[in-house]
Amino acid sequence: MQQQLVELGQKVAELQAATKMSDTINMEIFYWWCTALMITIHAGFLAYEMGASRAKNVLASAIKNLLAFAFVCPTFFFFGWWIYNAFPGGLTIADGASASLPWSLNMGPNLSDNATGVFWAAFALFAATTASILSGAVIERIRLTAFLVLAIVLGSVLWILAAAWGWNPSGWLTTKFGFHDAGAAGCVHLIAGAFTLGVLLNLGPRIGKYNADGSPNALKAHSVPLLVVGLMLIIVGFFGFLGGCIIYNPGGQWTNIMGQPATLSSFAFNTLMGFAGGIIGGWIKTRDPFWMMSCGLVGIISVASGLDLWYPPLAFMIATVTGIVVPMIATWIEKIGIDDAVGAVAVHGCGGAIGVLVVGVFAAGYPNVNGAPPINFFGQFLGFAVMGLLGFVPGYLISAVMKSTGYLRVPREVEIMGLDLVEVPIEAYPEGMVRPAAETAEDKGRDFGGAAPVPAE
Amino acid sequence: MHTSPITKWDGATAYFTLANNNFAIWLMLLASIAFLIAIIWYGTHHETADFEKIKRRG
Repeated sequence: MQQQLVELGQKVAELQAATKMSDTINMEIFYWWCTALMITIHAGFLAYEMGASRAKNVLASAIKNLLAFAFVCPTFFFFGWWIYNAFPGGLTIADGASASLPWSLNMGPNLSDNATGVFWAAFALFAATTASILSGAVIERIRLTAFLVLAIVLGSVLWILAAAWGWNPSGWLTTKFGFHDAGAAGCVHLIAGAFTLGVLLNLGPRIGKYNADGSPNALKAHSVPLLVVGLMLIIVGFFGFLGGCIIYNPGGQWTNIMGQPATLSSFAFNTLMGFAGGIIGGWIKTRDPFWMMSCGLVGIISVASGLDLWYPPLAFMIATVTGIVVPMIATWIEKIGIDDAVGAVAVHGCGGAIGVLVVGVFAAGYPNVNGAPPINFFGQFLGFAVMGLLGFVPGYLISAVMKSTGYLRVPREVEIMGLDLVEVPIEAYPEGMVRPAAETAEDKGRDFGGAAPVPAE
Repeated sequence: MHTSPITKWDGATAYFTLANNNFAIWLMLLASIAFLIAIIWYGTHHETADFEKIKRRG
């Protein structure tokens, strides 16, 4: 009997160990596939930016987009992941952050650590996504290397500092003020949109965008179908992105990244309802498939902060209203002389701001964990202000320094000729299209889509 | 090049190449950081040279 009990105990212990390992591996698998899906966001941004560019700049836009990804991943390894773990308390370094330094034994293959690699990878993809938001807005006139520096600052420093503060169970915005941002509307979209706005103010509009009286011209995308498909790919990738925003706790309930109980089902309900609402809002306002898809994206962003909380029809209504409002904001931004080639400031900046603030309006009172305050409007407003400023101020200042040294923008001659001719050794469309550089029409510019004449100004 | 920090899998933890060699880890790390910086620096000069060429050509 005694012997049988001992054997039974051993079997139970073996079973427990096997279950624990199986749970750990399931967790790894979950984030692995979230990361893989997030790559689709970059496929989408790539298609989207190429489609939005005129024919003379298509491949330069592609190179810029690809290199943003390539430079953010290693720099996020060098210092981004450490920033997230070091600064949840503000600007003091947290205990235990040394495990995320690039020379730590956790930052590489390690049989005693199944978690760090997959979490780092998911966060690296968040970082690359944040940098890509800037990428589309500045196409066709920014210097490639200037953009790369800006992308590194945004993707491997600023957003992740905001995430440490408000998208982390120990972040001071959450623990002291009850800030709630389950789907990263603030620390990814708002901060990227605000940073982009700061850069655009210094970068200036593309040649031909505005007439002498200040009225804007439409610099038409060379391929709207590519653009729309790109946006749909971004939506596909969003499911990986949002999956990466929820914490898989082996043996326990999911939690959001702030540590509050949540379900993946809640994310599923509200992501789809937000997407649908956004598309309908965009359709009501514009009837334009580009804006319908952009508004589908902004619909998700507008409900992202409270993705774990919304009653789905409320999420639908928030997204619909946001989908109506955001194209109007984009038009206003264009009218005041800011040339945002893809509407990134409106979609990500304003969409992210709405996402953060509506939680304070419609979801106040939800309890927090570990003694932190419940969700409240002030906490959401504070998070909005902190992330807005953390994006805008560095974006403006760094790009202002670049501008003052002549480093920010390509020369006028190059912009008119097209970046592809200068920066790319191959042609996007070698057959059947007239190369824009061959044209010298002194066009004041009304329609510069495709291979149409290049405006003198 | 013998870079394995382990001689058996039993009890192994960090097993990436050079994990037991602090100097080599730092060397690789600094080299990769320096490489990225150099690439941006080189890219900047390359861009500037190309832009100047275009400007001269008119």
